[in-house]
Amino acid sequence: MNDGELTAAFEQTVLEYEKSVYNYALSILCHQEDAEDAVQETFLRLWRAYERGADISAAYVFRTARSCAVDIARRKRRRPTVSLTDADGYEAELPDTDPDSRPGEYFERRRKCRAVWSAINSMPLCDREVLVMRDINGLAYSDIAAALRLPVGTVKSRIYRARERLAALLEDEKP
Amino acid sequence: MDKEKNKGNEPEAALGEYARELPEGLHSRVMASVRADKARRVEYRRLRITAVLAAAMLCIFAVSSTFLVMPFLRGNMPNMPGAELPDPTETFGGAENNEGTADNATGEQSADPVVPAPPVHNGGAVEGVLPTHRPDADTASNTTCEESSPTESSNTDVDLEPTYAADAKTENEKNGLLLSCISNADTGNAALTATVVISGLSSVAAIVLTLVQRRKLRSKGKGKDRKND
Repeated sequence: MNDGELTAAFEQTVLEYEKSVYNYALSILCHQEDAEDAVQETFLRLWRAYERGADISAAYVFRTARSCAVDIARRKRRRPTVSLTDADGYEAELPDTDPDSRPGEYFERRRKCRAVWSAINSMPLCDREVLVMRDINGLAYSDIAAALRLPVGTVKSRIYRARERLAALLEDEKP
Repeated sequence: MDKEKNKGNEPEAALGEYARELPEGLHSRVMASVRADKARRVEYRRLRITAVLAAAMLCIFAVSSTFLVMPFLRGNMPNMPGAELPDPTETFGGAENNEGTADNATGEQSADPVVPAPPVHNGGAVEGVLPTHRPDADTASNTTCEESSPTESSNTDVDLEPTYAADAKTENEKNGLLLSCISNADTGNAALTATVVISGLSSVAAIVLTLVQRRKLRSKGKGKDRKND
């Protein structure tokens, strides 16, 4: 495989995982720009591994993403920055692309999304990362267990607990 | 992505509809960083190869210049443990040695304690190597003059003629050997000098190339940082 083919093959991997990685990084960092940096750093590391011939599995991708996100969070703790955008950056990233959507539906969807994500962000990290991996990114239990280096049973119990907590939080937010 | 088969009614991604969309331009940013990293790594690899080449050339230069300089140093430092004292009968010219043989045959100079001293006019190369082992010049010249008087040499015993011829032949062979050694040494020195010159020049070139490449990479890195800021 020459250089161009290698890059093209890797681009397919990027396309496959980038949205999930972004959501996962966002669940850890709770900040859009930091999550973008984490995505970039993750795929850079994955590219280096890919060049060496490593097998890029879902567990490997999320383990790398977790490591990058934790690094960025640590760096940020050392050198705190002030963002110029909204704290969760939600306004900028939900464009209304559906031509048939009505303004009312669009705003309702946005409100729900904001509620869900603010509830997720208020949860402890151990709960929120398994919840995002399973319920938003749709990863298998075995992949989550491999990514977090935990037994599958632990992952399942954490997901159960996280769902209960999320439900309680959303219940509280209902008018 | 591997997805587990759904057991029961549990959905795979229950909150999938709330997944956030990728910000615009993130994909192109990721791919651009991947390509830039690829290019940078190629340059780093080139830099590493040049640096290794420079180091190897410097090693060759150091070793060969040491070999080139060492004989001169040994020659100039007679008290060094490695410096060997020469046997005067082996190194000096044939004519003088012939005289010495003839003189020994007369028996007159055998009792003279100054006789073993080498004559003044010996081979240039040997003279350069061992200047300190020369005896008192006055004594030596006097002795030589006395010994080399034609009357004495003509009075030598007739039985000594074959010995003299054999000795002359041996000395000629020795001289030939010495000459070939000198010529070999000259060739070796020339090769060594060439090695020193070539390795020195190429190491300098490789070091300059390494520094230029390093500077280029650094300036690129700084430019990238400025862009990110």
